[in-house]
Formats: sequence, structure tokens, C-alpha cells
Amino acid sequence: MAVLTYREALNRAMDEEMARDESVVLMGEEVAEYDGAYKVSRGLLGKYGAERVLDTPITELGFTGLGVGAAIAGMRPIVEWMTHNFALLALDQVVNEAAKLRHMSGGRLSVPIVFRGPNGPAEYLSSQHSQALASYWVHVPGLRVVAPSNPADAYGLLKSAIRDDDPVVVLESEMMYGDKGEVPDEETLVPIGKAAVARAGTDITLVAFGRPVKYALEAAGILEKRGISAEVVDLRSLRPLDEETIMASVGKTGRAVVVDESWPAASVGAYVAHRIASERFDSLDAPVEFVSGEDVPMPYNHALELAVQPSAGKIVAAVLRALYLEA
Amino acid sequence: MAESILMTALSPTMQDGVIAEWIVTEGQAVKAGDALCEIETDKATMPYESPKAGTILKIVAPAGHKAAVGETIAVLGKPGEDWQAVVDKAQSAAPSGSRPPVANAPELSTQSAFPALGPASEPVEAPMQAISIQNAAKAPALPSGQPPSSPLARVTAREHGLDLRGVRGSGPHGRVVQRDVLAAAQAQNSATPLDKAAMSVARPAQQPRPAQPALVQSKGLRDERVPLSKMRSIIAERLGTSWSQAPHFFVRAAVDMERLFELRATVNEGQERPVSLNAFIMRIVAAALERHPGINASWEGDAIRYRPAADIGLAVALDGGLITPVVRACERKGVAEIDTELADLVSRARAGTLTPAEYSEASFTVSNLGSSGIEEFTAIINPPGSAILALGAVSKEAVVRGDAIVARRTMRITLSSDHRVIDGAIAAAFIAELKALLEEPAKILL
Repeated sequence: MAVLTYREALNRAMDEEMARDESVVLMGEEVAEYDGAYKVSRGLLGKYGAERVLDTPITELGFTGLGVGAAIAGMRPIVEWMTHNFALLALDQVVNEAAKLRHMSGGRLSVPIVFRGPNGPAEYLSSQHSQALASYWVHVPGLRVVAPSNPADAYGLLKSAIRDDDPVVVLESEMMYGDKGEVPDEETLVPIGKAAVARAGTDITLVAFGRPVKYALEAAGILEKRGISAEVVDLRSLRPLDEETIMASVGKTGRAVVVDESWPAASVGAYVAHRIASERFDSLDAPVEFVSGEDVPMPYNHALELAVQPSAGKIVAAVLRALYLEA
Repeated sequence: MAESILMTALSPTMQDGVIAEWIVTEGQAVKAGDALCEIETDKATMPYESPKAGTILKIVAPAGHKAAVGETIAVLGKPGEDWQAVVDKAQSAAPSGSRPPVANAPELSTQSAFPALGPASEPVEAPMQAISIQNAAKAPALPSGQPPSSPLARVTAREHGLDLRGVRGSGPHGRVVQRDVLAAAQAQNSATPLDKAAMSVARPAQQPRPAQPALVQSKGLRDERVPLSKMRSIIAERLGTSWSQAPHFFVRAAVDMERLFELRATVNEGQERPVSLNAFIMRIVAAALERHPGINASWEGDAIRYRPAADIGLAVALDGGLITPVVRACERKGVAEIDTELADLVSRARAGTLTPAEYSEASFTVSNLGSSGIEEFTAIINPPGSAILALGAVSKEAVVRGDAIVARRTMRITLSSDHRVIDGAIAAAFIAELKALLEEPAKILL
């Protein structure tokens, strides 16, 4: 197995799919001449030409709409948003058009499009560029939403997303583009809608997605030294949600900590915690714990910026609460 | 230093309480946790435990007195200390009378009900009062009739037949969590019967019964009131309902067991583990049920449900109760298979690890007191089944065969039937068939 960065894994997925299917095109701000703001599309312009790799103006609503129209017309566009913060400008095209057209056309139209880009906090970016906006997309029926936490899933989920006949939002992470990991040499598709047990355990279930999966795994390592066996469920897909895997784990452990780097209110994590409380009520020995981002706009001060985000330490503290153990 | 003992909120909603009875007397030394008095609240009568060690210098609120939460009811300190000053100080700080410190009571806006807050010269905001009441309620570890418990703790307690009210919770606010239940279950299992009796007899010393003459303790008998275990209350509820709602009638037969014993001996020859008599009987009962499906049915109020399989329960006696694990679809199983399942179910029933699915929904039940030497008995129907078969002991009886009197191994069986579902003729036909099959087991091959 080759060791690739998260960025290279995404690039390989797009490269393979563009080679496989001529209807796959890539568009976005600086994706062509500049190889992408985060160099995810490196080399694709040279390989597939300016007709299939398109630099767009700084008009998120415009080029997202262009992509939705192209998808209806039979193309399989990949729209790169420089970050999900900027995608707020394109909400109408995603929510009112892409997500609705299959339903409103009685199944006659489909919108096979991928919206992808980094989501969640990076560093020193202050309030407007550090938002974790998963719930904006997960809220909407008609969309699929995936959040890979490692290079192998980034590769396999993006390939599945490109081949999916419905709009798929891919939540990447700027802080993970350089992360390295093994990616299978042979072509591999990670199915949408299947969570992964990233680490097996027996005492408590940690549920996370995207970058916080790394914190959950780090917390599980710390807990192991205290003799606590934590199981880490990496959701991978947020819509549809793989409840079977979550509930099987919580049914076994009887305790759960849900981690989400978004704000707490109306978040994916809050919803997952609610589902666990409903579906596994009789298995629970403690209330479901929830570690989220703090309910504030992201501070610019770096110490505060780190303090408001979930961390391994916060997860460990939540685990100890759920196990009725002293810190 | 001498200090006030205050009426505290023994439940979150309590605003005042009546001193039902003082357990201690003035001048008595107490330890932290000793019961000082019994307090009647809006919900219950509860012991008030001393927050500290010391000597009761003065009982301020006599038995029968109603005291508001926060009011001084006694003074605790070292012998010889001045209790009067403590009482005076408390009275200057506390509201007069026994009016509860309600958040919106206007008279309270100038004074705090809580000496700990100090005499307030400024009006105290209502929200602060409300918070103080909550804190007061939280302070001591409080006895309560219904402790909070986690769902998993409840499920675990049910599996172990434990009453949660007897388990001390280690979680926040006294929440009973799984580890508490497991510890209690382990303690119960490892305790000797004598320990158990001692544990349940060990009632708090503060409940003397002076009116009762001193008794010489009998060896086997005891004066004790034991709260119902969950299992006991379920048995009481279900069998009470069955007995009062299902009109029971009984048909009996004496069964010649010679052939079945010969068959069993043949089958078990050379077997490492012999197949039990119960397994043979359950298999033959299943064959009889197939021939008389009207017995294998449930009363459903506006309908009778005929059950598609002979799911036969076997009553198993446990410490403090009984349970009926069910072998499903006995009509489709061989005796060895039934016996294997039965052995597993019975051993787990005794270990208390059966799941509800394994001991519910029997379509027919067998109860066997033969091993206790009972000649014959009648059993109460185990719903949702409509009939139960009571088996007596197998013993040699003198019976007439042809013109001779011979000794034959005989078993007396009694079928209890629910007349709403089963009529006498059907019950009679079933028990006659069952008798014929037990006497000539080869006939189940027909």
C-alpha cells in the first residue's frame, strides 16, 4: 500500500474518475492554473485540459449554479469551494436546487454533482474562516454528506461521491491535507452510508467524524493507559447516517461520548446523541456526553482559538464523567 | 463550637417538615450519620441524620413541631457549651414562625432564611433565594424512596431480580449505576442465608418498639417484614391475575410409566449424559398438543389465538421465586435436542441470566413436583398459555392388569385449564391422548 497525503488521495480519486468518465469535470476558484488553493487539483489541468478543469470567477452562487445545471444536463461536475465558509453564498443552489430536483421532478431529473472543500477550523483564521458547517448540509434531505478523517477514506469516499447519482457534499479539512496514511494501491470505493470502527473497545463508545476522529483516537490511547477500553466509531457518512454501527457499539458499551467540532446547537453531534438516547435508552448507564466546539464565534487569539475546540483532553474528561470516574 | 442543626429540604419540593419523633435526647453524644429524629415531609417520613459528631445540647423544636427549611431544630456542640446564644443568633437571622422560605414571599425580601448567608441587611433578590433552597436540598446525602437510576442499571437489576430501592447509588445525585447493581448482586449471591437474614433484620436502631415484650428468638421463625423483590411482585401479579380471571378446572389421570421408563433406559444406554424424563414428557406433550391444538391457545379478550408451535415452559424453582424457561417448538425437536436446550435454560435460570424472550410466551407449561415426592397437585395456569400440566412423583402402585394385581410405576398428572378457552370435553380428550402416548410412546410415530 502506498502512503499518500490526504491531499494526494483526493487528487488521485479525481484523477482516476476523470480518466474513467469523460463527463467528470472540475470547476472552482483557482483549481486550474494555480493547482487549487490547497493544491488538491495539482496536475489535473495539464492532464485533462481547460475544457474539463475550469477556473471560475469569485462567484460561489454563480459557479455552483453552473455546476448544478451541468449535472442536470448529464455532466458529473466536481465543484471545489475554497472553503465551506464561502459556500454559504451558494446555499440556495445546493439547498433549493441540487437537493430538490429529483423529488420535485418526480424522479425525472437527477443531479450527480460533488461539492467539496475544507470545512472546520484551521489556525489563525478568526471567526469568518474557521466555521464547522456540517449541519448546514446534513439538515437537508436530498443531499448526501461525507466527512473523511484519513487519506484512505478521502480517496474512497470521493470516488463514491463522484459516481453517485445524487448531490454529495464532501467535508474536507485544511488541517488534514498534509496528513499521511496508507491508501490501497488497487482501486477502492468506500461506500457512502457506512461508518467505520476506527478502534475496537468495550467500555465506552466515542462517536466522531472528520478531524475530531483524530482527537477521539488520541483520547482512546490516553484512556487505555488508565485501563479504559474505548471504541471509536468514525461516522464517515453523516447523511445517510449509519445508525446500525453506532447502535451496535453503544449497545455493547452502554456509554457514549459524541464529538463534533461544530457549535452545539442543532449540530450533527447533538442529533447523533439524541438518536443514541432514543434507540439505546435501556443500554445506557450514563447520559450521552457531548463534546462540541464552544458556542462562540471563533476567537482570533490563538490560545482561545484552541481552547474553544474539542480536544483529546476534553474527550477524556467526558469519558470519565460517563464512567463515573474521578478525573 | 456549638452550632445549629437546621431543618433541611429532604426532598426537592419540601418547604417545611414536622418532627415526628426525636430519636436522640438532650445530652446524648452522636456520630455523623446517626439518626437524630424522624421528619414527616410532604412525601414521606424520613430519618434525619446528624451532619457531624457532637453532643445534643438542646432540642429546640419538639416532636410535633413544624419547622421551615432553614429553621434551627437543635443545637449540637461540646458538653457545657452555651446553646442559648446559638439559638438567639439563629432566631435573629431566621424568619419568625415556621413559614417556609418561599422565593416570592414578600416578607422574606429583607432577611435570609439561611444563617449561612449571614443576616442580610439588603433585600435579597428572589432568584438568590431560589438557588439557596436548591443548595440546601443538595447538601446532605439524602434518603429517598425512589433513587434515580440509569436505564442500564434498571435492566441489570431486573435481570438479577434485585430491588433498586435497596441499592445505594454511587453516581451523581445518588444515581444508581450498573456497577452499584452488580456489586449488590454479588453481595447478595455471596451472602450466606444467615447474613441475608441479618441484613434484612438489621433495621435502624432508631426504631425501637418499647410496647413489644422482649421475645426469646425462635430458631427457625423470625419477626421480619421483607419488601417484595421484583420477581416476587411479578409472580404475585401474574398468578393473582391468572387465578382470579381464568376460570380454572381440573382433569386428572393416572399414567402407567413402565413403557416410557423402558424407552428412556434404551435411549440412554451408553449415553454420557442421560436424557431427562422432563425432556421425554415435553416431547410427548408436544405430540399430544399437535393432536389437540385447542389446548395450545391463548385468551385475548375478543379472540382466541391458536399458537403455531408447542412452546413449552417448564417451571423452575429459584431462591425466592420461580421462573418458566421455554423450549420453543418442541413438536419439531427430538428429545436430545429438547434436553440440551432445557439443561442450558435451567442452569441459566438458576444463574439469573435468562433474557425475557427465554422465559415468556409459553403456549403450554409443565410443572413437575415429582422429585419432591408429591403424589399429585394442581397448578395455576401460566399466561398467556391456557393450560398447565402438574406432574406428581412416579411410584409403584398396585394396579389390575387382566385379572391380576401387579405393581406398576405410575404417575399422577393433573391438567389445569382455562374454561374461557378450553371446554371439559377437549381437556378430557387431551389428557386421555397424553396418557395413551405416555403409556405407549411408540404411538407418537403415528
